Amino acid sequence: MDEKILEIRNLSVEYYRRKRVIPAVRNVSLEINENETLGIVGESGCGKSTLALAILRLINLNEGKITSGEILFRETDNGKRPSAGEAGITENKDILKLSEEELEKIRGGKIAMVFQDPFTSLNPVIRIGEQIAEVIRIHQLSIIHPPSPLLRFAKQSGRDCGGRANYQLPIKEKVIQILKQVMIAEPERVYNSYPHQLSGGMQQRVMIGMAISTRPKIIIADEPTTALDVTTQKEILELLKFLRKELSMSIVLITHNFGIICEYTDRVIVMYAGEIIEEGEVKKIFSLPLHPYTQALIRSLPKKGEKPSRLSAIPGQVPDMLSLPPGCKFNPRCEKRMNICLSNEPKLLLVNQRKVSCFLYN
Amino acid sequence: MLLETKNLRKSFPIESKLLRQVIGRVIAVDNASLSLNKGQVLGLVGESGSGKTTLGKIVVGLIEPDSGEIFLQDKNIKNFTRKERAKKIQMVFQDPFASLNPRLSIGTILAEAIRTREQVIGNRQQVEKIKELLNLVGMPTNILSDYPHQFSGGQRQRIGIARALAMQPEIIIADEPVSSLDVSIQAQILNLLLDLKQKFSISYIFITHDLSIVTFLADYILVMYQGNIIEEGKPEEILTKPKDKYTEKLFNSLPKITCQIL
Repeated sequence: MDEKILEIRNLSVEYYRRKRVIPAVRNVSLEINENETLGIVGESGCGKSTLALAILRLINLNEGKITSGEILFRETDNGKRPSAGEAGITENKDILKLSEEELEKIRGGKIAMVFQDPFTSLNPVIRIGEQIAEVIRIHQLSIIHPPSPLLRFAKQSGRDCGGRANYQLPIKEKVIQILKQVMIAEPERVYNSYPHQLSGGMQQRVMIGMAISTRPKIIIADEPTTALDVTTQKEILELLKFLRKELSMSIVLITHNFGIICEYTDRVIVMYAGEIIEEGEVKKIFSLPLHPYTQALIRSLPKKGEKPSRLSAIPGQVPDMLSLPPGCKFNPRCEKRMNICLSNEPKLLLVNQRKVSCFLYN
Repeated sequence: MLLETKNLRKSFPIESKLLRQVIGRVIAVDNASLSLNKGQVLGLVGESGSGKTTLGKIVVGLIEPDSGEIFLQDKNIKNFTRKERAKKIQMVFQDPFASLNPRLSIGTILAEAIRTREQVIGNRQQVEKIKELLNLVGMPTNILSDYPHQFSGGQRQRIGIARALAMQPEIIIADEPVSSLDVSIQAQILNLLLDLKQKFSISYIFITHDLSIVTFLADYILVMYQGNIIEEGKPEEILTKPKDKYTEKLFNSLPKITCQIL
């Protein structure tokens, strides 16, 4: 299906540091379709992680804020509440305008996140089983089949009534089922383990398990394999790919690795200095990159089996977000720089079945 | 033969939490033998924990092996003093943020290395030398009084390489020199290492887990797994017909850019 599930319009995020403004994400618009894997690629500091955090309003308010834009999440009420009599109704919710209470339902519930480093994302003093159970308890009381009227009351009032002994059994079954789903070989053992007893790959599986435990519509995976070994990396990516089909979700995969983008995503967004500079189907972009930055990036990758005497490098450095150049932000490093690039900013325009922001094609 | 190691072995103690008694040993490097010729690039690959960094540190002299021998230009390494060894073998570390002393200026960092090589050197001469080194690694020469935090990762890695070059070594051990750098900067540093190899005919031991880099750079590849060298050969051979199951798994897990690239 090609229906939009999330649409971001003109999103800008700024960070503040010592009275200076860092424009981390500038005027970004994008959409995520149902059942697709969207890749976001870019160098460190290009705003890709900030964009991911902004989608769930996770930007630390002491450090920065979302200055403008809309994030529209299309919510389908697929008949889970027959009493309401509104089965199948869809509505667009602007995540940026939701109350904290409403946001909680989406954050971790409808849109889940998998972070880069499982070591720091899991609580080291709580057993794995309990950590996953906590997510289920917060988001989906209804699947626990409350056995007593007291618990049914707890469900209606949306509070944990403290009757944990009664919950425990059904929740444990559910958690074990989730651990099996993320292909953990000994779910019983892992259920009772602490995070430090598991390898990095296993911990990341647990993180993915937590993310899917609420049956989200979208999973945002921010560099999910950067902290892992190459062999584990492949297993985790294959798992995400499998789960996406199995649970019909969308995945946003943030990475700086072009190889991963090429193998695991359908559509890709290339970011540079807080902006989208190219966007389109992966195959089209890799076979014919249009933006000079995308071209240079793809050229600079060493290709397996080939042995040229030198790699083609991109001159210069990753831009300093505090002092961005006027005009096109890539112009100091661009080999196809023209006069117009120094003064005017290019717009993201539709060219050759993809969007690209470069004066070469305007 | 420039460098040869024979049956190097190193294990680290596992201490109990309570009384810090040794309750076992973990073998980091087991029976590692390798040889490096002049001008050669030796690629050392394996996943984390396979012992590749430990092996590199043993060769450079930062870790003393339990047993085994190292021969430098057919002489046992024990016959060299620390300084003599440092003049032959240098290391470029993985993390450019941790490997430069934050309280020393770039000039001091490089001067320290130069003075280790040549004890008697005038101030003016020293500054000349430093500028020459910075030129070699493609850095501006007016940064002598700047401090490491003022530079980006790629620039710091260049300074780290300049420091290694100050000793005019014959062997550089590069331990994941680009893994903490951005993709667009990686190619710059790899090109720099290649240029230096041609200019000074330096030999490299290139430690990495990135197989696309190693097949591009290396003349000969060693695959390490749990402290053992399980397979070695030319990149083309290992790439096309790996003999060991683990090597095959390692190479297959590399995400490929499968789409046609113009």
